[in-house]
Amino acid sequence: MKILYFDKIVKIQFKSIMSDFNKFNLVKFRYFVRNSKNFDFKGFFSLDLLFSIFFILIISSICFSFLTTNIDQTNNEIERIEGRIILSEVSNLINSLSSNGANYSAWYKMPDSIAGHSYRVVLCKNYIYLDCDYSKGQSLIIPVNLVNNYGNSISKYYLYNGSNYHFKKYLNNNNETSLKIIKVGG
Amino acid sequence: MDFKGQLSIEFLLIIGCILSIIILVGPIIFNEVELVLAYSSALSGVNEAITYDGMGIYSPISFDDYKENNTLLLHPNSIHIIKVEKKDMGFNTNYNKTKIQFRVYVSSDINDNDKDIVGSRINFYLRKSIANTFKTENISNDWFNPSFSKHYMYTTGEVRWID
Repeated sequence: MKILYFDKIVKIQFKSIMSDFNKFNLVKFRYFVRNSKNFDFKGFFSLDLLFSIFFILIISSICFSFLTTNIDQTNNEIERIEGRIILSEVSNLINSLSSNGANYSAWYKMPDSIAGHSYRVVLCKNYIYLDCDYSKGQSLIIPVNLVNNYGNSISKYYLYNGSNYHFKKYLNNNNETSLKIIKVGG
Repeated sequence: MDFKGQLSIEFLLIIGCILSIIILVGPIIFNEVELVLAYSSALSGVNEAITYDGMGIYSPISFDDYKENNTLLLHPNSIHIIKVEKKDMGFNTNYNKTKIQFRVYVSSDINDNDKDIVGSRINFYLRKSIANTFKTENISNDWFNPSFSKHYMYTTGEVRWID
């Protein structure tokens, strides 16, 4: 089979060619085009390329909605996984504090967002839970006695995204271990 | 005169044959493509549901519900997909579409009380994924049951738990 091309489409200096073209008849046009100094072989489209583009466009249009759905699902899954990771990190931190003696302390920087959404983690006596825009989850912890800056017991403490917190375990006046959390920045 | 810019007769014959074949088997191919896309979407939906249940992170409404009655679901669980079956249930005259039923086989060590809920979630996300892929959310109900594509409607059978 011969090599197939559409008629040559001259993309350069069209005006110049047209002025030269007047000197020739139509039969000699192709010969002229091939030998013209103004002509090169750039800007060609082979028939194979056109067919390939056509088929790629058909396949892409069929798969497009499936791909967008998959991307949305993946983003949702990332949100859930990141949420679970944060819950695990905070609960592990509190459990490690509970396992150690008084005056043991640790710092924790809350991640800025979960898949672009703001969130907060709520500490309760024996569990923590994640409160995000579209998702919630919880994790159990070793029971702790939460206190505020003045040493008074509190039922909940809120940790917000992007903030730094200092967790400190200490003995109160009744010789009971308590967990004090101080926001140190962010 | 040169030999460029011309089409050979062989090439024209090949193009003619290809076009004839496409016209003849095109509808069958497009129906099969539709089914393959639906099956891929179903798998993707099942995977999404299992990730959610595995992580134990839910939407606020589901979370509050499970916190009251199914507290074990709030902790990370291990759920494995065994297989997803597709069954042709014949032509449905009500919807004027061929009915396809998906059945999911999974394995997990979660307790029996929670299996119904997890199974329902898996089926829901399966149907939702199909509806999202074919952009037919607006013609289905809130539970996407059944979900639709151009030539088919999709339902789900009860999830089978393999021990």
